[in-house]
Amino acid sequence: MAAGADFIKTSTGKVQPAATLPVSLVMMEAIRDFVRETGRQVGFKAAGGIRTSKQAIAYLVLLYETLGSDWMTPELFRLGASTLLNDVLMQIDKERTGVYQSGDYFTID
Amino acid sequence: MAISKKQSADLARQVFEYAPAPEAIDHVRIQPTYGLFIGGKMVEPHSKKRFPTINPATEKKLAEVSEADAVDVDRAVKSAARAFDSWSHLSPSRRARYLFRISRLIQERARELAVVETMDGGKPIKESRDVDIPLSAAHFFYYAGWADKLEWAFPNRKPRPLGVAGQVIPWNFPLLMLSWKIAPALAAGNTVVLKPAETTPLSAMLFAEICMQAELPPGVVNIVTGAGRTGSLVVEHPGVKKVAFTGSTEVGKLIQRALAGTGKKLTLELGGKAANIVFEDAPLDQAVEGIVNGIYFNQGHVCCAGSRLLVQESIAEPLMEKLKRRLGTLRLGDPLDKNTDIGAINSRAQLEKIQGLVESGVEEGAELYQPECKLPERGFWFPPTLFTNVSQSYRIAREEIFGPVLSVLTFRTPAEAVEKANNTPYGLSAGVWTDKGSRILWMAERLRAGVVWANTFNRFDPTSPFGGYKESGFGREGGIHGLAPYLDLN
Repeated sequence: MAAGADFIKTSTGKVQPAATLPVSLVMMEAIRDFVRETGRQVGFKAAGGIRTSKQAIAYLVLLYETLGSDWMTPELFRLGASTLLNDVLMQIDKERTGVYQSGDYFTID
Repeated sequence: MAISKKQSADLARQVFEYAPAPEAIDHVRIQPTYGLFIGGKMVEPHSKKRFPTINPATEKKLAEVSEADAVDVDRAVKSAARAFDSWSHLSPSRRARYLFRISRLIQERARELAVVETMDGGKPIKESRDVDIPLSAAHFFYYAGWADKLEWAFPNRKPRPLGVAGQVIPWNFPLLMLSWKIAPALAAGNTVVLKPAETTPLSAMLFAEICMQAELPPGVVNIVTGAGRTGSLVVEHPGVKKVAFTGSTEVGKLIQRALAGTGKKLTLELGGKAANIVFEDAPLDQAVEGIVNGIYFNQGHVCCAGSRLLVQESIAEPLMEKLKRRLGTLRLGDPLDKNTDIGAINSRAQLEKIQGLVESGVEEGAELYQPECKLPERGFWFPPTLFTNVSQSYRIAREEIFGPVLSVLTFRTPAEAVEKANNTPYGLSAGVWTDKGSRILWMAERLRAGVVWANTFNRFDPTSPFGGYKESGFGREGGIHGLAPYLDLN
């Protein structure tokens, strides 16, 4: 951030464990300190290990409680989780139909 | 971009306006009236008098409980004295079995107990559910384990039970304080007459049910409800051999005076004005959480609450900024809501006391900060409050407020921190926040407080003794130390 990064990310997401809530909290707190010192908003990306909608909501709550609603925009917060998308689609389908669909109905790429 | 930055921030605010998440109460059965628990069953009070207990969050009456008079207390003590003979001669492992049974029943009925505790006392459900009830069960489990190992706890001594223990407990942690008192007393082989606080008697009534469910021999535990007068009847009864009291220093002094020369054993766990000391090398965000937990936990109704914050001057400014921001995110409201951080003040009397002391702080010249916070219309509420520019001589820095009110002072050197922290008639607890281990030990050696937390606050465990220095009382509860006051060790 001191060197001018626009956003910081937990990791590539390709190693395990990748993003965890405690690590994300520390990074968000660092962003909060940084904006207080410099006035510049740095973005945050949590990547790896976020596989379900429920987990994603936990990250959104963490973000909301730590950095507030200003950060709740795609420019400043992203989830890097390719697996998550299918779960979100599955949840949307469940909302729409009332039942869970098989994972086979959702393509994996 | 389909949606602007501002639009998404607004949307987020709407979405994250958390919906109410109240704990269900339909599984809880509170009876309209309660008797006294004497001789293993609920009996009608001789006094014929009853008084209401209300929900401080709604001011609605929950139930009517009995007010025990001298005859009722005498009955309770006599029943305990009768039970003592067989209970103290029961094989220790059998005693342990009853205690284990009680702990398991507390666990089984945890949800019900948590809801009743929250409705009767006003504390947030997340605290009664995650702290009060699990710790109560843990206390019984822990002391159940000691029941048949007393001779190992005190080697080369002959530990013998004392007789009837008279116990008076406060309203801030009703079931937990009951467990702190009853578990070691029973494990050591004593029998008990307990008086819960008049504003929070319901969990004790549920505990009476648990004693019956556990088939505890009649008279081993007796519970008499009432106000201060009932309490003084319990402690002054000649049949009581040991008195344990948790509550205010004022009442503690009265009890000590009344018991002088009677030969009764006494332990007192009284008030506090704990210093929470933050050094410049402390992790600030962590410290902020610790400060919040230290003073706003249970609306500050905690005898060991970190009500004085001592901050090293160099970090006072950023720490205050972080703390104020954090106060803005605390949720005050319905104690039964799972998202609530700050519940209702326990009683109108307590609310008035807090308001009076806060006014005195403003008058004496301290700077008041309260986050924007909507208080519900009914019930007793007080917003989280922070005082800066406080001098050591102000009432808000000297007297126990017992509410969500924090007084912030600053210091420059560790020596000054120790001096300021110890400059109080109390000495129950203290907190030290620093990255440096040697400084923690240096401070802990010099702080005159029964408990010193390092980089944490308000952490409890049944294995760890708890108690005070100076006017915070004497005797220890918890751990092996908590057994000693209930035993004759000569």
